[in-house]
Amino acid sequence: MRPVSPRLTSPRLTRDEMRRLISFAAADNNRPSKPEPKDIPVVAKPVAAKPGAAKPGAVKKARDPRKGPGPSKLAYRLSRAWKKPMVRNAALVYLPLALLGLIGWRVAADDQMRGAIEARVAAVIERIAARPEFAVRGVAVSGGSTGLRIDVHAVIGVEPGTSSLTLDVDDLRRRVEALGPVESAAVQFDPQGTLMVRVVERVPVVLYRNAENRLVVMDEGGVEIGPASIRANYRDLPVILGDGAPEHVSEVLSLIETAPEIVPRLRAFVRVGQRRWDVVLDRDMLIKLPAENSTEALSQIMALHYAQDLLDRDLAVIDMRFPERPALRMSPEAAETYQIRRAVAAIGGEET
Amino acid sequence: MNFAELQPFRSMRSRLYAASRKGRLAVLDIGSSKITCLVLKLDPGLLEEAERNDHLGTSRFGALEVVGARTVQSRGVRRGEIIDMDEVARSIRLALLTAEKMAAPKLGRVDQVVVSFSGGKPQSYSTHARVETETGRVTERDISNVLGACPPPPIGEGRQILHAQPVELEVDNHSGITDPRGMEGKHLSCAMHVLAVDQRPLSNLIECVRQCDLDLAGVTCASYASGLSALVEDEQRTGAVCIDMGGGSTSFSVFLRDRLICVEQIRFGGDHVTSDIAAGLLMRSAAAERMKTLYGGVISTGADDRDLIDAPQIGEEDAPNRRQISRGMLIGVIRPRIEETFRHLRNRLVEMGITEMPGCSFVLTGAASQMPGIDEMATRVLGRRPRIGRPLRIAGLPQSLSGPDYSAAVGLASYALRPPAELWDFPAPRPLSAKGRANEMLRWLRASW
Repeated sequence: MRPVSPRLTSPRLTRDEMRRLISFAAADNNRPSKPEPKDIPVVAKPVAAKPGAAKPGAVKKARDPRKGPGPSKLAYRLSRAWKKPMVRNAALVYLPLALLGLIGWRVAADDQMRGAIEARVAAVIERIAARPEFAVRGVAVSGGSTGLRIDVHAVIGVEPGTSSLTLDVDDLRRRVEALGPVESAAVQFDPQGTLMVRVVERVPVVLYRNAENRLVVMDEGGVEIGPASIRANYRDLPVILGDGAPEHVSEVLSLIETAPEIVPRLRAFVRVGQRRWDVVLDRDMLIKLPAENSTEALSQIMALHYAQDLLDRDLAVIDMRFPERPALRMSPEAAETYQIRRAVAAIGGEET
Repeated sequence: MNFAELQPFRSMRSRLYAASRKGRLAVLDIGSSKITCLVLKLDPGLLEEAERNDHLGTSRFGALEVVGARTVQSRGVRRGEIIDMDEVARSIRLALLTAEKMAAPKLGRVDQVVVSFSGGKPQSYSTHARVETETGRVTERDISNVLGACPPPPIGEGRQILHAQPVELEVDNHSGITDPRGMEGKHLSCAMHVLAVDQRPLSNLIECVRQCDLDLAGVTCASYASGLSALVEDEQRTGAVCIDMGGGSTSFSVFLRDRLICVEQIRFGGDHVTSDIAAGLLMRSAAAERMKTLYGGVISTGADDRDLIDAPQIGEEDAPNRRQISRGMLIGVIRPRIEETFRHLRNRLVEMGITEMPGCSFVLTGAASQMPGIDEMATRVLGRRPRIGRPLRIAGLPQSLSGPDYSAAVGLASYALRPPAELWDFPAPRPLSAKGRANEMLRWLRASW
């Protein structure tokens, strides 16, 4: 900014000075055809400062309201610095992170403060969990027999009013499924707050006489349901025994399906050598089935039975271990009778 | 020519190349009545490809996109020279910040800026030198030598070189050579165009840009820049005069064979017309400016005497019965000043012998060239019909910034994209190093046997 000439503030102007000022102003608008007079006060001459003469500060103050629009230097620098990714990241990410980390470190380092905060958080969680909205209204068990339902209730053991937030539904389901008679279970809360337990019970299909000589009930997968304390409750279930018998319960079931006529005479299915079945019927009759294709072998026997009443005869063993070469063994009495008859026939006697 | 004092220009060049590698650059056209800022986004890959494949360099414009543009009123500038550095710095800050804001989705901040300078009484000089080639073939060292041998023009005290461009290189009196390297010849001569301006206003401008925390990547003469964008390539080749009619001054730049050969300035411009209206019709200058832009003209017709327009006197702006004048009266005020401007222009052109240049066309550009009838007036005074030159169309330039008044700003972008060969693009002449001497000996031996 050019300092204002002191002549502009002097009270009186001579005619000569006036002319100079006019030509000075006119010089702005026209290119001077002749060289500018050298003595035009472009720069303030070193005149002794008079009292009241314009000081630079005072002039500046008078100019201030006429400043043009535009950002101040500080605003400009700040807004340009903000465009630097480094600065912006530092202000928006790193600085807050550092502050957070510092506060977190201070809190974690102070045991008392950490304890207080943990207690407070625990109290808040407890207060929220204790609200009536989260309370369990009751437990409803569906599916299965009555006795099983009572067992499930006992296993779950949730009192009405317990907070549902403290319950682990998955854990409850695992505990219910750990019960023998339960094949699968689903545990969930319904919107009213009741704990719904749906149970699918295992169906007992066979009795298994285990190594301790106790009868246990099994489903068709060979899974133990429970001890058969009273045999009479499971009168119509077949008995199986032998090592490896539980793994092949389904084979037993298909055998029974193939030959329903033997069911009334059935004593047991015996697993022999962990590979094949013996069927024990009453009157100490034994059917030895092959390891493979036992169903076909049995149906072959049943065909013989239908045709020639095979099973009603006095036989001790029907050996089908080689289906292409079945063998029969008569009971000793029958064998004796047979011998006598043969002898009689040989003599020429009549057949009785 | 003295290469040592051109060091600032060398560093400006390297900043310009750094900016184009980064792909971010701003150009600032600092005029007397407006400051225009364009924020440019350059694609360095495309730019490099164009540099390698395209000798003419026209496809370089594909690498350029204007992403931010802003024009603000210029305060503290008079006739292209700074009279209040604070105000100018403030205007620059405003223009740059708002242009950057517009560019924000595509570009971060820009640091390098190319600036135009429209004041400082530009004066063209020409200088010429002739040297013998060292080896019988023109090498880069020969070019440096001939440039160094050019006598410095008498630019005077307190003046500074703004442009120094080799215009013509001749090998053994064979002219029109664009790149003499590797050519056979005994003599190499060079004609150079040197543009000198006042040093003080230029350093004020540079200081102003520095105060805005910007790196200066180049300073050009404003009329040169407008010539670069308002003249089409063929005009630059066959010879053309670009008359840039700005607010504070009118200047012309002469192009021939793709080179700038002369720049001249006349200190009359559109602001003088406004002040004529304000003084002659006793009006506020804002009202005078408005009347000039809305109703102004140069050639009056019969209908203009019947057209009445509002022309409130000073202090009467809100009065119910404002003064009305005829349009013819307004034209009567405007016309003499424009005519005088063109007379001065014609005198300068005749003085320099440019009117005798064959195939020379006139192109009017700049804000004042938008006045109706100005081409008619130019035809009458200059004796040749000019055309109104609009700036080159570049990608992303807003419609509002594509009038003749923005040719200097667009020209700056063109300058930044394809900087012309200046003296400081060549290495300074220096004695042969030991390695160079050995190479020379080897070459001589190989050539002899």
